[in-house]
Amino acid sequence: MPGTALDRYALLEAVGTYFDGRSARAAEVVVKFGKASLTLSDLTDRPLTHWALASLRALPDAGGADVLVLVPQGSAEERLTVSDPDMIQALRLVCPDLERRETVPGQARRAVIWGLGALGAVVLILFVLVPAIAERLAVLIPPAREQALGAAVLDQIRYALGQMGDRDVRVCDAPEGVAALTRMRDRLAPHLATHVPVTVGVLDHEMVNAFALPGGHIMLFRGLIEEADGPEQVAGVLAHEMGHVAHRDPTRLALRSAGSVGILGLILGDFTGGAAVLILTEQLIAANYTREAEAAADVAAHGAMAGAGLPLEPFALFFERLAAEAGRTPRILSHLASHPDLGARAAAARDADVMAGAAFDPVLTDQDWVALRGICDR
Amino acid sequence: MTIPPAPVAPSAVQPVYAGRPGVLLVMVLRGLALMTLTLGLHRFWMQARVRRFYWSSVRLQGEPFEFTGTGFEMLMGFLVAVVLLASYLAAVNLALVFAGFAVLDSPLAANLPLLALLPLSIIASYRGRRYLLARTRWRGIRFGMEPGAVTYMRLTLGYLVVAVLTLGVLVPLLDFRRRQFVMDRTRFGTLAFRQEGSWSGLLAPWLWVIGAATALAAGAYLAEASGLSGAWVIAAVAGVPILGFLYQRYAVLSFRYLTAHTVLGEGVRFGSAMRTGRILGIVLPGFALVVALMLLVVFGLVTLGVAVAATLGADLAFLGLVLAGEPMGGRLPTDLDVAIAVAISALSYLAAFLVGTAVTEVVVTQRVLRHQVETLSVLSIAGLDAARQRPEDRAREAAGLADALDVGAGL
Repeated sequence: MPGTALDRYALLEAVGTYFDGRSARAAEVVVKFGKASLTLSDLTDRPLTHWALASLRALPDAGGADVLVLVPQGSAEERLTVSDPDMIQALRLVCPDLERRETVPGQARRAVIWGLGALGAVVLILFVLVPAIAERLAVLIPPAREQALGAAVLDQIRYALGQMGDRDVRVCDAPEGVAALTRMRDRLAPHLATHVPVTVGVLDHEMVNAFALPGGHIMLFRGLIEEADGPEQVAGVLAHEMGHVAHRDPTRLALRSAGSVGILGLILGDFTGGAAVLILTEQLIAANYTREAEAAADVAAHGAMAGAGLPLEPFALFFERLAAEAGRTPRILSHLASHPDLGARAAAARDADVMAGAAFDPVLTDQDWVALRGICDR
Repeated sequence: MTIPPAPVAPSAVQPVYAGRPGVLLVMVLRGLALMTLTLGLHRFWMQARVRRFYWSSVRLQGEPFEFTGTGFEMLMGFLVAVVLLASYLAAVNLALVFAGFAVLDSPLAANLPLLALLPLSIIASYRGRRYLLARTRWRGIRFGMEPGAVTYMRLTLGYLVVAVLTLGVLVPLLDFRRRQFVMDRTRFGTLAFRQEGSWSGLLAPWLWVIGAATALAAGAYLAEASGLSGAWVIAAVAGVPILGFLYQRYAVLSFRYLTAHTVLGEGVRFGSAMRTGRILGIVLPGFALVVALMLLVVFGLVTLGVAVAATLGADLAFLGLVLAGEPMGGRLPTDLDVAIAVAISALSYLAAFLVGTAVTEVVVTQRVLRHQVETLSVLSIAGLDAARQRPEDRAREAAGLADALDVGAGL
């Protein structure tokens, strides 16, 4: 019982050091127990103050046990230092709440609210603010800078794709193939307004894929050309990618990625973030545009194909083949095949077909088609 | 030139370090365990406790220092800093790409965002120090620091350019001006600190660093030119300990010089007799002990785990074969085998991390601090009586930015 303990220490006196919290001057005081309180008097026995025992708190997590620093509750500024071992022992026995930590009401709730708020703010920046700014900048960026950005992204993608092997993925350059590809582009280009001239290349990689980059670079993969049954299928894919260029989708995506890379690095714990760059490169290869952007690119492609007097039936067939093969082929990274609505897109292409099976002027001669298929030969 | 240890004048008072290593060890082990369980959230509360421990372990004239910061305010500051940093990084990266620096491409461009963080981290370090001082008391009187983070950032960047342009020779100028800026704004209650002396006082120990680096590079160049292959490798291998020692010596000697030229209020002066040899004598065996203990923990737990696995009927022989480069060891392990193997590796990794971090804190960090405290002396300490209380610093960000920049928000 505190009462009995108090009786035991009734005659105990010790010298302590008192600080009033206003000045750094130390005051030597005599400390002893009064009635449920601790009295502090000066060396001439003149009482200075007294503190209720229940109000006394010791400063927590003390490094040494030889000194006890007391703070009276309700006064944040005053301090009493006691180093007499008997007095320290007595205080520990007699003061009921010496080690009690005051909990600030509502602190846990505030921590949760602020934590969720911070998380929400970062999510907002990542998924609303950065895309909105990217949207504006995609239109404002000068074409020359946009092309340079595209070239840089292409280098990064060639590096990332080449990591399984030992060097960057090659851009195929057999002259006849390049000429054939240029003819294909020229056939479509007049029927699709783009803000920058379109350049087309082929990457020496077996993935069935194609993507557009900022500044009008379009890359087809060797795997796509090998998979296609005829030049009109390749032309359909090319027209689709030109649609993305016309709508500046790649620029928007690249700007968005650039804005996100630092934040992802922050979350992953490094700021320039090699890991974050790799993740975003993968995203660029997979070209995860929105469903609306894909549909709009399809509509643009339909228009260009119709304008060029080309049928859309082969394009529709190509979609259906990819849909059928998507489950079986390991070449899953293709953004063409990764869409769940390939059947719907094939149907839309058929609806938009103005040729209705009529005869047409092929997009490439047989000779050019052979040359295009051999563009990666050395 | 060597700077002799400051002689302890008759009226000098030396602080005492009274921290109990056992208490610190338990505190850090417990804190790290809770941190693991709370996915890092407990870190702020652990940091507050460890600071209270250290602050209260340092006694000047028998009076302990006091740290009054809380884990809660540090968490709040950190959260605000994360949001600020996220906006800043997004804005900087978008601006860089728009201005024609392709972030994904060249090494220079990739480091531009990091460079853009430099001013921010200098500001953060100033404000972090200001927070620590504002939450430090001695004899009930608060320390503090006057605002000036942005000026400090400009000054640091300016002298950093000077140091780079002079190939590092003028690093002491950078160090001195930064310290002077900080000390001239540091307060104990109403008393002001003042940094006296001159940057040239740091030059001699620094020239040893520069001289040794130049000599190593020149030696390697000449040896390579005269047909000795691998001279650069030898220079690099020899250079790490030599330059490491000389740099540590510079750090100690400049601390001594700067301390000896610090004045507080009317004539309170300081001295330091810190020694490079003692620091290395703490750090090197300390880390050796940490590595040995971590290996012991891993070895012990793996041995124990294998024994437990045997009683459960699991066969971990496949692990040895996998390690030897033989996939699956010719036999497919059962789910139980795999589960036990994963549990053993996870547990021993975690235990080694906990023990390593906690023991490093106790045998390295704490003992270096102890040496630094015990070699300090305060002259004419009676002058401190003149200090009056200063108003509470209302800056609420609690070093969150410094925290976020140091460690990121990684899990």
